[in-house]
Amino acid sequence: MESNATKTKRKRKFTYLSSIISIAMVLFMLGLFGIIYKLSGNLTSLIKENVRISAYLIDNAETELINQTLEKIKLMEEIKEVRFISKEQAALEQSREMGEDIVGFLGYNPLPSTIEISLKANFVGSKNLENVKQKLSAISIISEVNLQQLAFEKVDKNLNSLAFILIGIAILFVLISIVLINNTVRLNIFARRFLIKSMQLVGATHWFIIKPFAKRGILNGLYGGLIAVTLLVGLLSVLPNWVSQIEILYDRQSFAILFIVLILAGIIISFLSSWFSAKRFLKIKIEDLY
Amino acid sequence: MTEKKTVIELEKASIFQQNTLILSDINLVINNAEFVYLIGYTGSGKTTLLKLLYAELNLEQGNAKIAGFDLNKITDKEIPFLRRKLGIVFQDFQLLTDRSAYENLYFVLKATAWKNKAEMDTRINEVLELVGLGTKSFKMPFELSGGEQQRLVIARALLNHPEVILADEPTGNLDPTTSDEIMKLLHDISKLGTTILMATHDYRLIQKFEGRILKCEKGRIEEQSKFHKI
Repeated sequence: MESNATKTKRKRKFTYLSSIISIAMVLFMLGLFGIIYKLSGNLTSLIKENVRISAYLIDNAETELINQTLEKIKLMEEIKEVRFISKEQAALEQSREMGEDIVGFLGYNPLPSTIEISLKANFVGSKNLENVKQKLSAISIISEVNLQQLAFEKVDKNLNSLAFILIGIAILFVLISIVLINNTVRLNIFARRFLIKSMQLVGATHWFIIKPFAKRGILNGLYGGLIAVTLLVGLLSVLPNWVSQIEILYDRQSFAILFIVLILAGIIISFLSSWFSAKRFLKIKIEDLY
Repeated sequence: MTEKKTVIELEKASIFQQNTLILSDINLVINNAEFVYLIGYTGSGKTTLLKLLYAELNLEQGNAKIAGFDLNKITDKEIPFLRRKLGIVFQDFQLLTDRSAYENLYFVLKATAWKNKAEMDTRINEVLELVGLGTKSFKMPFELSGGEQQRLVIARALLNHPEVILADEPTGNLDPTTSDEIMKLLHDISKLGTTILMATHDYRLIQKFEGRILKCEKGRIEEQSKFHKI
């Protein structure tokens, strides 16, 4: 037959395990949100950088001048990528799109040579766009700059709203995580309130009583954090099987930082919850323990 | 003979529990090696007085000293050190069920800053011998009878050479024969110089075992003779 001692030890191990799993689940949810936030941030940048500016060149611009202009534009801090499309190439692409030879049909090529420019994501905003437009318009061989300003502004506005919503949800998630981990830890310590009182009555100092709970809090937070990170790494490695090309949004350095933050958050929240809960039970009177 | 020394002294003390006055104007002196019964109806203030003495309750009015500590001036940090000079025995003062008798005592010594393992072993064996559990140190609490468990609780209370043992209904859960054994043990401890202040309802024990009697009644504590109608 199983002795009371074994039962108590098993019960305690189970309590630790359930506490670690609870912390791990909460941190996993928090981490998952962190990953979604990072992925959506990367996706936002990708969308912003894919919105292009077209700079039309004057007819008969000299090749050397075009090359100099391309180099000049590349050196601008706002610019991510530059592509030159010649008059002939533009006609070819247009004909391919329309399914008809437009030069043959019109008898001349109406399309100008174009420089297609994509901006760095953090420069996609109406103020910067105006600035870029001015700089491009000042170049002698550029006859017209097509900003697609409305598209830029729409993208910028929508993505900014999305970012605000995500930040709001992130704050909510962090608060929920703190409350859930705190409650789990408090329940565990509540189950050992009589032990705390017994220790107090035999003359143990507060530090002696709190120390094992704080130590356990650190360990539970660490184990919970490690489990959460393992699950997240597993999820990230199988995600490309379900969502094609998602790995282009992966940012390994940011994920590594996120994982370290998660483990530290687990340790800190669990430690502080243990510390304050144990301290709280030290102040409770005997009759309030029942 | 043991030299006479005051270990508990209350002067015009009033004790409140959550703003309710439980005992007022208590004047009391108890010396070392005295065996004192604290009697009275349920709710008369016996446990409240013990709680004041082990600093679970604050002293609101008057003066009180126990084992060299002034309860008017005692700080939260000093309370553990007061309690090391007291032995506290409750009817349901829990033993650690997942540890043997020896480990229960070892845990208390560790909690009260003992460091030397050999000295700890010696002290544990001494108190176990004293309470008659010398051969049962390896037993788990559930393997001990009710009387043996209470002996173990008393052994635990004795570990730090307390000046005073505060016992709240220590025989409350025991049969008459076992209660007599525990009382004999407490009297033996008292003869070794430790003051015993024991709250009890069991008037049979008071008649059978010697001791000074203090009665809690109507918010006061009064001295009573054994022959007074209780």
